[in-house]
Amino acid sequence: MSGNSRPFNVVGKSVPRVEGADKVRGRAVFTDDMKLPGMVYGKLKHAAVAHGRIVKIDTLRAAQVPGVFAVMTGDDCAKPYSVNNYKPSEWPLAKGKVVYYGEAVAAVAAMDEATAERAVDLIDVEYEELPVLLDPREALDRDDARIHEWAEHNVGYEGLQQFGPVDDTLEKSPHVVENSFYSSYTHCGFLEPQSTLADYNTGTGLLTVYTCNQLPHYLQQTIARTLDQQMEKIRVVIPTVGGAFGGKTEATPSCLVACMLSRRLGRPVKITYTREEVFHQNKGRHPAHMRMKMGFDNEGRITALDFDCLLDGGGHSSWGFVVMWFIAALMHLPYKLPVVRYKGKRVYTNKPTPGAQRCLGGVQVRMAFECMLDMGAEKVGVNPYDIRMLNAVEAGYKGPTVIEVRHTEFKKCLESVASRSGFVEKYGKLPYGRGIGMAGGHYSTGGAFLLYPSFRPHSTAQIRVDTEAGVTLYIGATAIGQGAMTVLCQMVAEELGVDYREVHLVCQDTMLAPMDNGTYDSRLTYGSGHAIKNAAADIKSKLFDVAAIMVGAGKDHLECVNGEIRSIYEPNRKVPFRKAVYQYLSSVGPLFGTGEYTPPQPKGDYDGKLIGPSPAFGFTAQAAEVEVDLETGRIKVVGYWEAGDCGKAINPMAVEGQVEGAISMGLGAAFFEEMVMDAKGKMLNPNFHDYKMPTALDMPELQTDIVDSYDPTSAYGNKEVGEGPVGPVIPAILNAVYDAIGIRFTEVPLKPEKVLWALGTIEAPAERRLHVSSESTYCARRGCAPDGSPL
Amino acid sequence: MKRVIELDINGGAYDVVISPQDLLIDVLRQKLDLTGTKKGCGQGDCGTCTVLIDGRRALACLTLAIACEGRRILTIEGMEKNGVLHPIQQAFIDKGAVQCGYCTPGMVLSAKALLDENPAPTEHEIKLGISGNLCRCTGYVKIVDAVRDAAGRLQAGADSGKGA
Amino acid sequence: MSLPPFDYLAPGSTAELAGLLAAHRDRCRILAGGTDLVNWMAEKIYRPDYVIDLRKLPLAGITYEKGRGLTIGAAATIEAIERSPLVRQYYYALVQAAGQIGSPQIRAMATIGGNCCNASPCADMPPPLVTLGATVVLTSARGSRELPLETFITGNRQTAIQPDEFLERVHVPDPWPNSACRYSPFGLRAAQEIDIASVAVNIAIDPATGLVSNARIAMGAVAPFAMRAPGAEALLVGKKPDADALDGAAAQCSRECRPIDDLRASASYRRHIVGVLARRMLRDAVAAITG
Repeated sequence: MSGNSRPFNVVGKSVPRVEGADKVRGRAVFTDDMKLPGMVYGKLKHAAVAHGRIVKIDTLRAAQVPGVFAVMTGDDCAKPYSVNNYKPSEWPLAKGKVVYYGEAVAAVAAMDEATAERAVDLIDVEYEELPVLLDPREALDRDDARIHEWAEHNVGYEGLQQFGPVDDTLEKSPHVVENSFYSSYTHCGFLEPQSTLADYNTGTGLLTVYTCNQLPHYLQQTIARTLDQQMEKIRVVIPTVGGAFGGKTEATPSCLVACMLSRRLGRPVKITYTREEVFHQNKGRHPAHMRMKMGFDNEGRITALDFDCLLDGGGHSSWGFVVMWFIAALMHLPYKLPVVRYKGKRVYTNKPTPGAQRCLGGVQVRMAFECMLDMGAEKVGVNPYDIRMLNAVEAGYKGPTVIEVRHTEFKKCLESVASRSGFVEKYGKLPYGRGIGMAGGHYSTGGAFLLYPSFRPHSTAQIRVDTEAGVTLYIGATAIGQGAMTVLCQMVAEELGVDYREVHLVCQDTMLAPMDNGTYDSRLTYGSGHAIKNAAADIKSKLFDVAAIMVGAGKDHLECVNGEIRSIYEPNRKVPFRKAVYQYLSSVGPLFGTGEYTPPQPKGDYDGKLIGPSPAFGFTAQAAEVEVDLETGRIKVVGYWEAGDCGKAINPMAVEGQVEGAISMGLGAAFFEEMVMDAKGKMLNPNFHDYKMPTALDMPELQTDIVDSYDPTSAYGNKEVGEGPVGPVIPAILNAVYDAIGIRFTEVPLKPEKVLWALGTIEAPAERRLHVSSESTYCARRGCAPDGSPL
Repeated sequence: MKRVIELDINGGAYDVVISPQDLLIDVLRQKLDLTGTKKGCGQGDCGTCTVLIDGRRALACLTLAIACEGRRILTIEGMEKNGVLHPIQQAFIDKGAVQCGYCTPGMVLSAKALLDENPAPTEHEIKLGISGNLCRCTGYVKIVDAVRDAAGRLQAGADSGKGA
Repeated sequence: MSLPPFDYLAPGSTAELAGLLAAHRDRCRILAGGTDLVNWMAEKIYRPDYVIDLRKLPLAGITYEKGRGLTIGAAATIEAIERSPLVRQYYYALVQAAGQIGSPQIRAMATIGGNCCNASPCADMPPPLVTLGATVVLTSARGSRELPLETFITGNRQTAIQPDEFLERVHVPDPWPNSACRYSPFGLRAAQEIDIASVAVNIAIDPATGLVSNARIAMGAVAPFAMRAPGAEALLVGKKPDADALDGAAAQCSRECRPIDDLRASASYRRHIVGVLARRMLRDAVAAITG
């Protein structure tokens, strides 16, 4: 049931971006485009070992280079930091030791970048090398080589969630499948390298920080805490951001160092990463070694799940805590899961730290879960579509955790994808070498809880209306390329009946805009939507007092449409919006409205309960048809279908763009992307020629569909769409490849040589343990021998 | 050894002091405040810094500024005429081909090079034409739509110009 | 990353160029497209005192003369080669190779001279050029000399060029009568790839006998330089180019190549791919001849 879908004027329309013209003209200002008077440039010195104690840093020669203004090392840093200040281990400049190759150990500020680079080359660092641990499974066994002193066996976080008698239920289940999976070490891949321009004003004591960061208010807190800078004397301003995907949620060392240098010099300091530094900074996806055991009844209903997840945490803490618990939460949807045990562990290794890449935790869980569903389907004797429809959640679903699905059209997504792809007609029936696979997914629309203990509203909006500036929205939300500004303007325009292009937006500035939790976990549109609606209601409640008299209709019977305030029942009774505003300003005073939103806070009593619950969930289903070149192992995606439930699409064109981009990220992870280290922990491919993201020629044709949906708990019926669609891509491909050649790959990226190793065409290198299994039922089902020849 | 050179950028003459080792991308962005051309990798792998030199595609991050003397450089700032957007730019906006905007200038220049050579490209030719420009936001779908749309607009404009 | 400082020179004649090279020798590098050189300087692999730009020199021509063959100036861009109707008509493998290099932007900047002199084991132009019997003309103040490309490239990024020489042009003899040449690379992505293996074939069939009269095969990215497959060639010459013969030659290519394991692919996979590409290209070439 699609629910109430009241007629909208601008919400729901595919209007072009408000910032589109600036971007196509090259006038949108990104951080590195900025220049301030007196600005100097900073460069960082990076560790050339993956694990080592810093014995000595000699900066004398660097300091003497003409044009160098300052040199800093870890000795200049007072405090380490981390997300949520939980187990802080990362320093602006490493202090005492380095824990990954490429970690920043010193910094130079100079007249220009070339001088700064020359000076950096003259800094000598001596390390006492320590054992390099690159695999979390090995790191667990090396308590003698702790990466952080307080982390026994290199365990950063550990968690257990248990609902119901897992072992017992599995034992009693008529069908049980078991497998292990590995999701790889990927990078967010945003095209804009991180950049910070820090400007400390010695006269006023105000530190203004221009940087591409998704969480300006959180960054403000991090700077205040880590650099002992008074919070009220920090202003974070986010210019246009060139992609973030979760990788720009934390303070980079370069950001904090730029602040420190600026404070010391009393002049603006800009530090922009090179592409190599971007890779070393990482904060991409956590590689996960996963084991799942899933039980099914005779119809195919999931009875229980036992899930062990070992996360490779790299050198620092980052978002690891959140990822570990998010994985636990993400298991519980989009299928009903009555009994479950989750054992999570996040372990430190000497690698650039992973963080919170788009669809965090979701990609790992979906990869394993959706493959397990297909395995279960085969055992039970039903097809993958039917087993998903059988287990799919419906509105009102409450599982064993506090997670509640107040609204969903997931089944519609499955139906749409199955019918458009011809899934049921094709599955198991295509010629050997050709196959079709499907997968479902979901994602939270903002967490119920903040990143840190606080009772503040998560989203706040202030609207100011006057006859000089028109309508101005002050909101702390941060645009990172997803189209946020446009939908915010659309929502205001919808409420106040003005043209969306005439709404002024003051956002992503901690001094001018109110506090906002930030752009992560797909929370922006939903949270802001409520806040805007409430702020607009505040405006209208004030304005309509005056307008009611001018129009001659009751205050409660008025609406704002097309630049007018008019009676809902007699639309000819109306007054121009501006005229009513003028009257209000003259008779009453300034016109401001405030609105806020905090998601409902569920109550629960288990570890990790704070992470996962969400007021709403977006859902998606996808199907991939593949053709395997049996000679080369190359996999061609010959068809790709998606259907998504994002509630009401505020801007369908923007929604499509987000889905298409999410799928391209998933395909990159499925086929090409992984950061590779040598034996000593040095990244071998910190560049775009060997870290391979899809080009235009690598993309298959995508057929997407926004299913008819409206979430009544949302301000405009909208839910998330930016992250969820990344999740199903890998398993849709893996399931399709299984249908094509009967080999179940359980690792990515699925490079052509791995296909040939698995087919036995060539021998895999001895030390290479490939995650793969062949199912004997494939041959029976397809009626062919393992090599595809007819029986 | 620094010297003064004259660069022809977007039809305008710019005098600039450079060293021979200065890259065009840095001269554009830092010395001439033409920051529309973006730097994505500095190694020629992403196409973000694409400009046109004498009508042909070039990567500003791999081009010496000094080697551009006497050549016509076109950057994103030169695509519009007196504030009126080029049809390619308008198509990008109208078709939703712009998300974060970082790849956009390079993408627009690549599209211009493509449509200058091949006014009616097939879908494959469009993808080939932009295959040297990475985009992480869009999956390229709407960029291809925009280039196709721009090709149509340019053809229509050329056709209607014939009667004048 | 900033480049190390150097002096920039743009000679107006090949004589002037030769003079500069004679004077500065190892302390200078030639700038053509710059797609390799600029990266190497940024990474501090090279720190030349002088960078000598070829832009003023008439070295970009592509001409064909029946009986003489194809002459390509060293500064001809990869894009120009790919688009040349002459090259397409007579030396199709060169079009296939040129079309695969890098990206449209790289192809517009990079030159055949750079691709040959920089001699990456993965370079796309050398394998088909080798099968076509290409030669390079190296010029210095001392005069010019011509050597087979196959002899010119001696190892991983190593050539026989002397410090005072520049590569002036590449010469490709007239194709064998009743012949066809084909090239295929192989990489992970469909664009912006560095090959993990490539194969070029050049095969001629005697129209009277229907037997292979001449065959050359060269493989890329599976040795320090584009290497021939003499054993495979011997299996073809004088034989009927049927499926068995082509398959046998392809399998021999696989045996003869010398791939390594690296970040991009394992040696065994490269070896296997060479066999697949060789078979496919041989079939394509034979089909092109027999129609």
